Amino acid sequence: MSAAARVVPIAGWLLVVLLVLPVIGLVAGTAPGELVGALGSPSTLAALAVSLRTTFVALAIIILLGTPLAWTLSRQATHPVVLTLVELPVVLPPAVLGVALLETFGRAGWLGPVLAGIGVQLPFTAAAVVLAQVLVGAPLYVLTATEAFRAADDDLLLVARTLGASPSRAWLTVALPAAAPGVLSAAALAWARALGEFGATLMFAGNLPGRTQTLPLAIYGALERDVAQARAISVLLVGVALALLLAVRVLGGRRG
Amino acid sequence: MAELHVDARLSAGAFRLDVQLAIDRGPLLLVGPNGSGKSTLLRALAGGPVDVDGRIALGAEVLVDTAHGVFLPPERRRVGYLPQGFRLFPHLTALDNVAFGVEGDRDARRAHARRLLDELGVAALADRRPAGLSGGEAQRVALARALARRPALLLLDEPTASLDVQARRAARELLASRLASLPTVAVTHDVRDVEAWGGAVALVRDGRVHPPRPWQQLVDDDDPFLRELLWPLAR
Repeated sequence: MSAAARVVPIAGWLLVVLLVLPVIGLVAGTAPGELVGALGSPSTLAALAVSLRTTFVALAIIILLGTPLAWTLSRQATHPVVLTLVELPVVLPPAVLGVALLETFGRAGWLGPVLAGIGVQLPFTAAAVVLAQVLVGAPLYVLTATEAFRAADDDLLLVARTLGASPSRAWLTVALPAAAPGVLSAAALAWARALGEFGATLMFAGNLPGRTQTLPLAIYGALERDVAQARAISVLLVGVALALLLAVRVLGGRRG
Repeated sequence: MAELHVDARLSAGAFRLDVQLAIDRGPLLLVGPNGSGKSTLLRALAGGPVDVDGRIALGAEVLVDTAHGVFLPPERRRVGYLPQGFRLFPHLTALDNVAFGVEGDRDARRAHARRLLDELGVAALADRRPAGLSGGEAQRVALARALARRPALLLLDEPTASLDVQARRAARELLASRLASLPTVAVTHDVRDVEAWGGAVALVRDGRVHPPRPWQQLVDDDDPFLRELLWPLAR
């Protein structure tokens, strides 16, 4: 075996160690008793409630608006311009999204007067949290679901039609179930991304406990006064992320 | 009266294909270079997303007549369609794939589907998902599905192409026994299919479908594609 052949895998595994080390450090430093105590505290429970409420509303919006877009995009080769527009929020720094949201929907933003005119104020509300989450979660959902819907190509649907299915029945009983594992994975990824949203939320929705303080913001707030609580919420979110990834793997693997 | 009668221009994007065809019985085999429009013609006959300008009739039934605003949707055409790659519904078992198009209550549909799988020698696969089937097995299940509604026309797109040599021979023989009794349009690149299935062969090339003729009359043709395809049959 050449020297390069020995060195290359070692270099690769070094990265795996680097990726896993912080997670191990986090989990190893947290005693189970401490975890339960911190998670049961009123401020954590309030942040959990805000996170659950906002992410589920965000996910509903993402699925409702993202599914038709993903289906449309899956019917043909996606135009590079459309693809770039959809992908943009994924690569933009969250702080940039925060500024962009304020400049658009903020009181001094260009839509601010319009919104104020109809009595709507978005910044520093739960709706602002949801908006930030939709912005970061929707691109992931649309891009992943588009790939999933490509499994239901024209020939698959045409077979269903020749077997007596109307267009809507072909979509509901063939296209959707054929794409379902991938679409569910897409929803799980989008939800995880929405749950983790921090930068844009902080800037656009603030950090108001019980109203706009989500779990990631609660970690940020707790770091200054109660590191144990910050650690506990972090461990909780690691657990959620692992469970989601596992679910996505199982869903993806079922198709074989 | 011809069983299938086509006089139409097909278009999909920038692609055009002029089709004048009349077949009575026995299979019509479409041969021709990749991209010449063979699959597009099958999709147009099935009612797929292809623009058809002209007339298509199957027996006494007019499927398409653009001059009179007639366009039957796929679900009313009584065609059995076996696309490339078979396209079994991935979320359904073999049995439910076949039962999908059958009418009646659940038990009756499944009983009919089971009979078809049995006829094609794959009853043992009824509860398997498509992901767990070999190419030859998937081909038989898909054929059973295509036959389940007793179609008046069978459309086969390279039905033996993705199979290994043994499965291909089995599939070819199975289809040969079926094609005699059911009007069929089949796309193939395999000269052994042509020999086994008989019927007429039509070259699809340069934007049109050439008049179908028995392969025996085509082996001496000057067309380079036909020569390359049929040389093993030349004596």
